[in-house]
Amino acid sequence: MERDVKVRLRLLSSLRQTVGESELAIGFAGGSVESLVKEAGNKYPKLGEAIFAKDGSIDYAINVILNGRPLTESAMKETVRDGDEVTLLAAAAGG
Amino acid sequence: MLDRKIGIVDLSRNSVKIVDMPKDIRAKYLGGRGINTYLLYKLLRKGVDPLSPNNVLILGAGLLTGTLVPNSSRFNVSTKSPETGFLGDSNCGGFFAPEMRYAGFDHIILKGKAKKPRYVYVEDGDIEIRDARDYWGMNTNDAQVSFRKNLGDVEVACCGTAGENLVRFANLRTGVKNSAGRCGTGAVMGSKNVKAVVAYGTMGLKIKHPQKLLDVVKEVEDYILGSKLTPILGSVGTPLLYEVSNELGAIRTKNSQLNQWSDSLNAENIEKEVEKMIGCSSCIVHCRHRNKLGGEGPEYTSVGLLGANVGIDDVKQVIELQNIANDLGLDVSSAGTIIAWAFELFELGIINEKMTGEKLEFGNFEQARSLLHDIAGREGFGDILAESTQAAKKFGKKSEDYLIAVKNLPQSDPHDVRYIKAFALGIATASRGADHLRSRPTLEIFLRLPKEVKERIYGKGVSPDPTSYDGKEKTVYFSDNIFAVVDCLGICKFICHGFNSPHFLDYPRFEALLEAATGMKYGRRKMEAVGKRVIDTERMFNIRQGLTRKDDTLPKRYFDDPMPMGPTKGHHIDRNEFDAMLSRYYKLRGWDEKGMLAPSRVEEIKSVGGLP
Ligand code: SF4
Repeated sequence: MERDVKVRLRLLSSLRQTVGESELAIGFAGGSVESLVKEAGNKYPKLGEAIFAKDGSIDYAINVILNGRPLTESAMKETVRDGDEVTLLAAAAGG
Repeated sequence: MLDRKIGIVDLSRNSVKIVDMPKDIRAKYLGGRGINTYLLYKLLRKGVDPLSPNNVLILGAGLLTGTLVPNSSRFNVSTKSPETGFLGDSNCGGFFAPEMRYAGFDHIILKGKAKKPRYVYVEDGDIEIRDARDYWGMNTNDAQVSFRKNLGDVEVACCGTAGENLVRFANLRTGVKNSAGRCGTGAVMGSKNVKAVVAYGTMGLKIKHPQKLLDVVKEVEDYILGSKLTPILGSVGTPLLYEVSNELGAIRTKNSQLNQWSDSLNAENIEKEVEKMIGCSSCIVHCRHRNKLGGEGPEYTSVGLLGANVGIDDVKQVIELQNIANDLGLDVSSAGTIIAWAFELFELGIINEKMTGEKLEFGNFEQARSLLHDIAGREGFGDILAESTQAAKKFGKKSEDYLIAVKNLPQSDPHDVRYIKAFALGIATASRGADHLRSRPTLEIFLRLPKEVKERIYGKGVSPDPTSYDGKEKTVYFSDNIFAVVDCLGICKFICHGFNSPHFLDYPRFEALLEAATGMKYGRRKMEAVGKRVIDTERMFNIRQGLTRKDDTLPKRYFDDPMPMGPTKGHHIDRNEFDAMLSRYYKLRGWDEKGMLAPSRVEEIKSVGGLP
């Protein structure tokens, strides 16, 4: 399959530290934001370890921002387009 | 039972009375914040001047504090706040509270005022009022080192020079960083001419079912340590949140004129200044840094409020400001908010050099540093800032429009709450004023959390959209109640369900720990009822001190100025939507439209009895 959708995947905060990269350039066959994130998690095992829940879904603690717009779970079905920027960051809290 | 005594220290009469914990109070409020609140309500009449001998300062350990229960290090310090005029209550970790219990006391009440500087010494069932002249004038690090040098392996909760000088946001410190930080607890201690409460104890705590407790603790530890979040908090600590908030466009910057700031304050830059991670008594998370500049921290709050909020982007400078504030015994949240407020007022011309003595400007590290010292010493313009939000009396009415505070308490959360509506309701209704540790429904920042998961935790009708007002009263109501319970038990909120994670400890695990340790059997409902009772008692205290619905509100800027930058651009709080959400919150609590309790509920709470 052709990998013609080029996406900039940014990793922030603890994810950047876990993976050791702040940005991954992903060639992607196309599809939803969810499938892109899953594909990246499968391709980079350290990222996968950090973002996948036990059942293989994307952990709810992972916030996803598409071109500067934070996504709710239903918006994860939106289609990724060539040149999009997807940002992943693990939500957490404290004082 | 883990019961310890209540020590009542009358500083005016130089006398001490030691009483048993009445069973009814224990059953209804468990310990810590709950019992403190009850005592405060019973002891203080309307209109007491917070810095007068008529105020009281209560130190109260949680019911499970000092046991094997993970992260059970906490105590609350409660008083009428000199910063706000309402409830003053602050929760603190470290090692002091377990020691106070080993020394035989669950609660120590300081009343009256000593003629000369004193400290209160607590050891194995006894309390003495001692001469503190050798410690007066010291800041919190030196004072603690000196107490240890002179008295051995004691634990100390003390005020710094800020407390001695009655700075309205002076705090009470134990260790290098742990603080009963909020509401001016240190000023109340200073007003009583007391430098510290010092504890040394060898009395073990009697556990009702030791083997059972070991088993439950093991299960709880495995559960917490199995979470992905635990190693992250234990290696990076809370500064990682700075980047999360900043990326979303929700970091309070330059007194909330802006909502995004420099990447230079991201956690990996802070880590370069970190020696190691450490923790409070019985902690299995270790969220705290020991920094290379001679202190502990910074936490997210310091990074946000002594960094972005005052326009500083250099990590070392932020850490230095934080270390200084801690040593002087100043609350970093109030300090960072009040200094930023003054900076903006100067920019706007609302205050000028005639009052400040110099040009004030965001990003000026030397100026921020000397202001901290001047505030603690009440020198020059610092004397005005030492009044906290009450400096508005000097600055003029217009200055209030730029003040980021609720119920006269500067906001502690570095998160700009205009985006996440539940956070806004949380700071508006929190019993001690603008604060995130009372009721922040943190799971709202898990932006992908689906409706069914949210509804399972908070109840039906809660929108999964953090920018929606729908059902958000339920998220605050749930958080208010469970955080109150965790404060009664003496456990750190970091492992409490809903504060950090949709997992962590919920009511069933609290029940299991409580039963194993004390034999007290509390089902979910009864446990939650304790939380509700604490909130209602705090409300009664505040109403007696003059609180009305108009105090459950937000800074003007949050309503009127949309967020200017980033993904959150354009968001603000709609007054009508906020008002409707507030009414729904009152209804859930059983309060009327004015935020008042039903007379039958007031009578019920008043009838809790047994105070000698
Ligand atoms: S998680 Fe942090 S604040 Fe909580 S008990 Fe541990 S070290 Fe203290």
